Amino acid sequence: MKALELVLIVIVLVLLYVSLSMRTITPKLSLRNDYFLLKEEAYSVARVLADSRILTYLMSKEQAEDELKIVVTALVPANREFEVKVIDTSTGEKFVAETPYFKRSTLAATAVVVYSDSVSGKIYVIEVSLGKITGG
Amino acid sequence: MRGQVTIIAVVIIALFLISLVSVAMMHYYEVHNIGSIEVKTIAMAEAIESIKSDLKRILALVIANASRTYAFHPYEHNLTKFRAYALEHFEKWVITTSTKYGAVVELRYPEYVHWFAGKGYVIQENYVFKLYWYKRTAISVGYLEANISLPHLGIYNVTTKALVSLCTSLLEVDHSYDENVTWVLMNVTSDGVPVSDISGVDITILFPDFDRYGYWVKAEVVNTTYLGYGLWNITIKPYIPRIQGVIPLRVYVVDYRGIVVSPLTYEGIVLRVMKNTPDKVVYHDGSTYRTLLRTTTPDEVYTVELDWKFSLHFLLNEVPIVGTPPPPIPPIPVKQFRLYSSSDLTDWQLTPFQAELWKEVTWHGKEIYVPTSPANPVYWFNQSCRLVFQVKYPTASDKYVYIMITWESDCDADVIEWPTSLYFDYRLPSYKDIVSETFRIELIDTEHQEMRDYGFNYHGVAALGLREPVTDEAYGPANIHAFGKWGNKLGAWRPYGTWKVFSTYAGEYSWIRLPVRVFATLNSTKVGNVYTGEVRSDYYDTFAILYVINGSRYAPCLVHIYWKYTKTDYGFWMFACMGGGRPSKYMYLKKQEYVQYKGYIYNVSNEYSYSGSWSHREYSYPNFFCTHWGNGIGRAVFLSLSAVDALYDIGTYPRFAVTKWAPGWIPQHSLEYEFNQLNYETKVYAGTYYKYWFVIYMYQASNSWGEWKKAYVYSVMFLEPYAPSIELVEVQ
Repeated sequence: MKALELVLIVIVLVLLYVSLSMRTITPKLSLRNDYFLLKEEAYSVARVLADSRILTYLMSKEQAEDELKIVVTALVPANREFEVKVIDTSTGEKFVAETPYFKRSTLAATAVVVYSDSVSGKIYVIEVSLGKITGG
Repeated sequence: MRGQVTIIAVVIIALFLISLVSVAMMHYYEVHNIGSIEVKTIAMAEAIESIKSDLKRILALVIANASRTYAFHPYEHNLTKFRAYALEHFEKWVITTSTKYGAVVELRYPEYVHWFAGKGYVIQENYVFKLYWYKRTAISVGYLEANISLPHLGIYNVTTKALVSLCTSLLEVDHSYDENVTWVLMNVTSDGVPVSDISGVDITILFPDFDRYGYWVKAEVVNTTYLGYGLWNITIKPYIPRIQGVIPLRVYVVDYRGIVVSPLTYEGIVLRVMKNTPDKVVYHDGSTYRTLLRTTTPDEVYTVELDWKFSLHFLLNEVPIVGTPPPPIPPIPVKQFRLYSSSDLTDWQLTPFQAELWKEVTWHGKEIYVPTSPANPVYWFNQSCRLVFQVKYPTASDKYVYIMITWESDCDADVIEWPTSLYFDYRLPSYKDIVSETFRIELIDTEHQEMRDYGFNYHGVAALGLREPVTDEAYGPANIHAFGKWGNKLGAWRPYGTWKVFSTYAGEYSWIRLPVRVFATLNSTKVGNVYTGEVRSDYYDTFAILYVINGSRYAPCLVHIYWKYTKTDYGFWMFACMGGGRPSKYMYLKKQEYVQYKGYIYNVSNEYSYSGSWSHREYSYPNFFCTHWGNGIGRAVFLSLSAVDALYDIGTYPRFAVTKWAPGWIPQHSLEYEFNQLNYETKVYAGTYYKYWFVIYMYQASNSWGEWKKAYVYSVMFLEPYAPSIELVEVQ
């Protein structure tokens, strides 16, 4: 009987460990809580950039990338790394703004929005990638 | 006790297992259900909403491009071109959208009617956008529809519509002299919604500069007040006076998208062109003065030019507008203009006109106006432009013709291609002819030296070869000036050069023939000898303008002559026109004659026959009219008073002359005006300048005596004191 009790206790301890580990494993497995939320956030940022008149203004600036970074930093939620690319489809010219640790993101989602600028007569593609550094 | 521990352990294990299973199920649900439904819904919504909102932006982009260029570019006013650009933009946008969203987007451009200020503005199918400007209400509007399919998300044929507009209506304009301000009450809507935030809209208001007529000055916007429902009261400086009840303003409204509209506070200018010719003409038949009533004058058709200052030009006459000039003709594309004429201010007829470019040049120290080209209809009307049109007075009771200058609001409006008899038959080496229903004038010059069927090489001398327009029979050349003799041959030195012909509109409209008149210019610094072919540049310079007019029986030629060197010779011609030997009779109006017991009589009609054996005859005291007729031809030459003055000022013994034969016994039966009789040695001094016009008039005549009267009734038309005048009636 002693052996049975011992086995049961070991099983309980193992299950306890597994249950406790779920707190960290579950978010990693969950699509809704991370990737898709990031994607939604990225879309929001991209559409705010497109639907407001700000990009028309930003693209006319000399330091467009710096200005873009300031604006996107204000728009994205805290604890998000980001990379924003604004691509001029007529010339292929890219304006890129990103946070220093974006490349270290363990999870990232990208939203793409097309933006036609009636003032400059250009069509831009806005790619907003939001990332999160998770784990260890 | 032992059993209890076992039971508790089993229960705990069971709870753990239930918890783990629920976590696993939750994960399974997220992977298989959220990913395929919720996430799909989110992605779908985002993609479709993004495409919809960008559809409006791409439409705004093409309207902004077109309206901005149309408003501010001097000649890019072809909206069809912008629609082609728009389609390129749309195609690029569809490709970008397809690749970035994975969407299949199909654009459609159906007809759409946009209502603003109680009026419907149509965007025709496939037009995408329209601009209706230059009236008190101006709108820029575009409409399109898109069919969106997102196959990877299972979405097919979602239809979305995009309407983009900027509309402005100038409701009221008032002013205060004491406050030195002018107010404009305007209504502004964007995409059908009243604009309540003026910060996104740039308003520029221009008013005519009253010190420098024809220029526009930007007014200072000193205040804007929002009154609700898109109504804005704009206060500008300075005080702008009313002209004929209208405060003339040009307004540009540009919204944050770059879309432009341009309304004007006036939409048309009505003018009255007055005939000033007398109802009768008088001549002396040698025994008494006779009167010819000008009851019916179907050929009293004036081809006049209206310049940017509303001065009326007829030949070399310039008659300024009577009284205060109206607001300037606005600088909008020439193709937008329309001219209406009326005899009673109620029944208005659309009237052909053409726009020409003129410039003032200094020609040997004299300021002269010369036509440089027909206007390009897509260019703005500017200070170089003249509107050329005809005013008709077919009966004595017709004293006025009302002309309304207005403009189309539809920026797609194009030049009207009027039917015309005019064309330029340019097929060298044989043909360089300007043709109308009355004339076929073969231009003889350096590139076309020999008149067809005439058998005489002019060696580059510029002259007008007159031909029968239907049968193409040659009457022979009309020389516009000549000096000296070559042996016993007449008219040794004549203008040498090339006629430059303008028969179509300029630029991309060169396929449209000019509807009112074709003109040719000759700018010559040399003279040529038709007998030897010698060319010299030590005589005189010539600037001549020839008009061949649609629907009229006359062709005027304006001539400026400047002598560079002093010359002495026999024979000096202002004009000589051959008749191909056909006319049988001729007549000239003698300026004055002394008759014993009567004293001086004036404007004496002297009729003669070409019959008899003689070669050249000269007659004293020529005046502004001569003609020859018979054998189916009736041709008159009208001179201006300036031409008559030149004859008497430059010449000592001016003569009307006729010549029966050209060298080689070519029949002529000419009409000639000479500064001096042939046997008088003429010395012309360097620096001598004179200008004149002669008008060749064709009429139907039998062989009878007295047929000249048919032409004489029109002679007063071309005398300076009787030139038509102009006054303002109203500004609409």
